[in-house]
Amino acid sequence: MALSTSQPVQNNVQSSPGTGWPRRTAPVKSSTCPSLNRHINLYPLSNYKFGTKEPLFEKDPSVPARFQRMRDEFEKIGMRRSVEGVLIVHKHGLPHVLLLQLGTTFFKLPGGELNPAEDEVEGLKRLLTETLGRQDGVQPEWTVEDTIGNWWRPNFEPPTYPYIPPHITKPKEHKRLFLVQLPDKALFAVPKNYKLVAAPLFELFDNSQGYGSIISSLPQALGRFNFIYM
Amino acid sequence: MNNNDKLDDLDHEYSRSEWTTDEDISDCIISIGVSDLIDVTFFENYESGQSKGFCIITLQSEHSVKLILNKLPNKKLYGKSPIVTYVTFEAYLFFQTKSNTQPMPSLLINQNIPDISNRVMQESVSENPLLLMQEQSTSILMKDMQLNSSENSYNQGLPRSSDRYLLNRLNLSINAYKQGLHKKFQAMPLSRHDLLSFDVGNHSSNLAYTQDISIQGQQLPKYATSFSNTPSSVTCKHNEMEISPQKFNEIIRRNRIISSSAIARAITNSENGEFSDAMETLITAIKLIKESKIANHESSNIIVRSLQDVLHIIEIKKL
Repeated sequence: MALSTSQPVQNNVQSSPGTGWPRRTAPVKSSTCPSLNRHINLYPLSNYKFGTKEPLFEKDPSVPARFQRMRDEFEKIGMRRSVEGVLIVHKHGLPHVLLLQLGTTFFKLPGGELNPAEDEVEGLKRLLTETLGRQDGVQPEWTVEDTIGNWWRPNFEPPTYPYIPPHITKPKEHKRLFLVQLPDKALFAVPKNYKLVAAPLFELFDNSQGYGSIISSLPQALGRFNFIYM
Repeated sequence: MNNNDKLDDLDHEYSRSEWTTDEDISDCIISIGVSDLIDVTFFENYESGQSKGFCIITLQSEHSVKLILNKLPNKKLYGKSPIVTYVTFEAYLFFQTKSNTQPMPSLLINQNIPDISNRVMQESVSENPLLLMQEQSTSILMKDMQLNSSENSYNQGLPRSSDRYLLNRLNLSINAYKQGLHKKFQAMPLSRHDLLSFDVGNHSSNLAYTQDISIQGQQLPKYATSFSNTPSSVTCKHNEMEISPQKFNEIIRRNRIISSSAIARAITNSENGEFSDAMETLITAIKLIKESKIANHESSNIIVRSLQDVLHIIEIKKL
């Protein structure tokens, strides 16, 4: 298939008058199939306002406590289901991902654990509102657009992978990432113990040391979207 | 098979034992009449999550341990007989080497006997100094051993470099420790002992490190003397059980053997330029010690810090 389409192009190049420059390809007619051409509107960072609210503490006081609770809950309710939202704005003509910063070196996407049997989209909206929702009772408008990725934790340990290793029949956590379309303007209330940062994609790209394997792979995962800078 | 001559899905690069699942193993164990399996934990490549083909089986009773040692080697897992052994660091190194160099990466298993009524058994088990007892347990290593000479062309890549995240964390802990700030270090919460004995701990840590390095050429280090600041009893992390001083010293001795073998091995590896292997060995040793019954005690922290120091040195060498 790839061969048959590239052949005529080559012929065209050969038959064109020799300007020395390759011919510009004709404008590509984009497919109308929505899954092949995903448009996502991005609004400038300056459209959004950020306030603060009461601190929102993690459920577990330490890393060992986190895995111990995961272990305990696995016995009772099985694999943990987590959802996280990827919220994107633009600045200087580049998408920026909103990340919550805890301390100086730890970054995470807004989201969290689903309740047993909770719908993942509803759960994500609940968690986003808990984390970033404003205080004045106005309900934030979250539009969950698309799945960006799935990550699994094979053991009660830090590593997660975008697949289930084949020797694992019972993964301990399934984390799903969603692209969330932001409204054109919004007010977010950020818990006092966090900072909200807008990280440019080039900062995240190939930087698992700084952001972990999930966040640092977002530039690749987001590459399939056609971002419209509003 | 013949229809797929053109299909190179890279599966032939890996042995069947790398695809063996935890369920395959538990089914196999149940099929020989063992019903008290507690856990199956695989050794994995940290970066990819891929199985190394060996695992640790944890069992409830010594009876089951014996049953498995006797019967499991005769079972076939995907046409191959597994190797089953007690968990020792030597066995780990052996399987690790196999999984790095052989066409057939291995299948490894450990086995634990949790606590309480097992005191007698533990005593008898602990006569074997090479036995790694994790928590209250007897352990078994199991490995798929059949070598396939027809797969000489097997070309398994070098183990990937150890995970940056883990190294970061270890570096963090080393730095925090060096600055005397380690009680604030979240990932490794310290017990009350540590706060009280910080100065002593810091001092002994250097001692331990020098000692470990200096004995690297010897066969088996002998730690006849008990640890200087050994308390008469220690609260166990997992089951709140008191450990006798005798038992405690024995576990310390075992941990120190693990540590010194790992350091010796890591140094040899890094001298040969095999830094990833060296780091993996150290990381595994740290993990084993952190999982031991006395993981919360200062002596374990000291050993872990020595290992982390060496890890840090090797990491710098690697760069």
